[in-house]
Amino acid sequence: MIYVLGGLALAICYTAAALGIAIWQTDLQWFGDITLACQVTLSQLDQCRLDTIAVGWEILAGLCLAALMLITTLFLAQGRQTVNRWALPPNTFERSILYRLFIIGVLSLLCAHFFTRITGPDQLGRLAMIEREGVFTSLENLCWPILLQLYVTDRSRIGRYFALTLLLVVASLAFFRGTLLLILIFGIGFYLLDFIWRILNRRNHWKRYRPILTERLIIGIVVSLLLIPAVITDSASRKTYILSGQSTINTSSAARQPASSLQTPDPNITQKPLLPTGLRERQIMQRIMSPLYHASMARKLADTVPPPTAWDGLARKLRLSNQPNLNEHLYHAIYPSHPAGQTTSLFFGEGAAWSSAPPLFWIVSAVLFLFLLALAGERVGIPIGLLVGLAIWRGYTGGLIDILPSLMLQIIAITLIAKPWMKRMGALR
Amino acid sequence: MKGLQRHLLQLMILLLIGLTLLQSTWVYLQIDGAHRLRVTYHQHLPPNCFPLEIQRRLQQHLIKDVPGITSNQIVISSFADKLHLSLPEISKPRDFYVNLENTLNEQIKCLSNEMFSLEETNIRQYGFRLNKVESIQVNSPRTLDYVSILINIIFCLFLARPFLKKKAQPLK
Repeated sequence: MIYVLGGLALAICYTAAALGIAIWQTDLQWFGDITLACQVTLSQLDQCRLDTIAVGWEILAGLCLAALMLITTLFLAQGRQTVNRWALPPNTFERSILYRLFIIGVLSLLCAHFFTRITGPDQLGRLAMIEREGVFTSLENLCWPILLQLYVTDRSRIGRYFALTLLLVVASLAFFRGTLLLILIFGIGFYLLDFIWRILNRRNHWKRYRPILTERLIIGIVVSLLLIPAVITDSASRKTYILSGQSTINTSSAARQPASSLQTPDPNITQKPLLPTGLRERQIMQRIMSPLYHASMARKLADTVPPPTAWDGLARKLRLSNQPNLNEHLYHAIYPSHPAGQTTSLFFGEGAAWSSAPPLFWIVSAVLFLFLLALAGERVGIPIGLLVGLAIWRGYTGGLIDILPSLMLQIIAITLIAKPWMKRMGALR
Repeated sequence: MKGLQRHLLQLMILLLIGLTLLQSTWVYLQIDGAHRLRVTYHQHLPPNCFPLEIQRRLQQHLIKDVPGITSNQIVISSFADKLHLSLPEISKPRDFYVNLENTLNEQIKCLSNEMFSLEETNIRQYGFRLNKVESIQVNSPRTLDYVSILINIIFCLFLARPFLKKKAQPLK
C-alpha cells in the first residue's frame, strides 16, 4: 500500500506546489500558454487567476480528504493482509509461461521501436516524432508499469535485473522525462520508504534484506545519474516547443492576442522585452501551474460547449473512435491550429465536465475507487499496489476515465503472469 | 487501542455516509427544471481582435436588458470560431438574440475603428452571426454522479463489514 499512498502523496505535493506558484505569480502576461487557456473562456487574467486558485484549494481539499480516509482505513486494516508480500518464495514468476511470453513481447516491441527510430528521418521535430512513433509509445506506456510492478515484486535477482534493463530501455526510448522520474520515484524511492517504515515498526530484519537494499540504493544512484542528462536533453528539445507556443500568441492570423494588450493600453508595458530574464524558471513554473489552469478552464468551457462524454473518452482510449476525448477537446480549444495534443485537466476537469455535483466529490470517489481496487488485489494476492499507485498519479493528471482501460489491461496481465505463484501461495482456490 | 480503532471506524463510516448524502442531496436538489440557455454565434473577427472587450460590452448589454441576471451567471467562451454564451433560463424570444447579434456587430465596428483603424469597407466582412439558440438542462444528475455515489456506498459497506459480521453472529 506504500505505492498507493505514495501516488496520492505525490498528487498532493504537486497540487500544493502548483497552488503556491499560482498564488505567488500575480503577473500572468508572460505565461503564454496560461494566457491562451484563460482566453478560451474570455476571462480577465486576474479573474482567471483567482478562479484557478479556488480550483486549486478544492483539489487540495479533495485529495487531503481522500488521503485521510486511506490512512485511517489502512490503520484499521493492519494485520488483515491475506498474503504477505515479504513472504514470497524466490523465483516468483519464472515458472509462468505467460511471464516469458510477456517478456518476449516487450523485447520485440522495443526492437521494433528502436529499428523505427534509427531508420527514420533525422531532422524530424519532437512533435513529429511523437506522432510517428505514437503506436510504440502507447504500447510501451501500457507495458512499463507492469515491468515496474514485476521489478518491485519479483524475489528472483535475475528477474529483477531483467525487468530493470527493459525499463531503462523503455525510458531511454520515451519522449517524456517523466517516465524515468516515475521509475525512480516508484521503483526505488517508495521501496526504500517502505523499508524504512518496516525498520521503524521492527517488522523487518536488516540483515535479511540488506542485499536488496544495497542493490536498490546502487540502482537509485545510477538511475538518478541517468536522469540528469535525460532532463537536460529533453528540456532542450522542449524549448522550441514552448517558445513556439508563445509565438502562437504573436501571430496575427490566430485571431488571438494576449489579453493584456486590450486590457492595458499603457505603451510602457508593451515595451518590455519579449523574453524576460529567468525564462527557464518561468517555463518550469508555467509547466507546474498549467494543469490547474486547464482544470479551471474545463469547468467554464463545459458550461458553454458540450464536452465529449466519458464513453467517448473510453472509446477513444480503446481506439474504437476518432472523436476527441476530454483532454484533446480542451487542447484543441487552447491551440486550434495544433494538429494533436492533450491537456492535463486533473480529476477536477473530469468532475467538472461530467458531474453536476462539485468536483471535490469526484476527486474523493476516484481515489477511493482505485484504493478499493488495490485492497481487492491485496486480499486475493495479486500484486497490483504499484500499478494502482501509478494509476492514482496518472489519473490525477489526466483523469480516471483516461487511465481506466490501460489499468484494467495491466491488472489482467499481472494476474495472468502471477497466477502460478498465487496458486502456490494458496490465494487461488 | 481497539476502542480507538472502533471509534475511528465509526467516524469514517459516518464521514462516508455524510459525503454520499451530501452528494445525493446536492445532485437531486438541482433537479428543479433549472435550465440554462446556450446560444452560439459564428464569429469572424478582424486579425488581432480578441473578443475580450466585446465580451465585456456584451455582458453590460445583457445585464442592462435582463435586470434579473448577474455577470457571474453569464458564462462565455470562444471555441472553434464560435462565441458560446450560457445564460440562466430567460424567456426571451429569438428576436432578442438576433438583436444581440446586431448589437455585437455594431460593437465590432466601433472596436475596429477605435483599436485597429480598419476602413469601413474592410469592417463589413467581420462580425457575428447567430448560429443556434438551444435550451438545455445542465443541472440534471449525470452518470458520473451515480458512479461517485456508488463508490462511496461500496466503500462504506467495506468499512462496515466488522459491524455487519458481528450482528450476523448468533447469540451465545
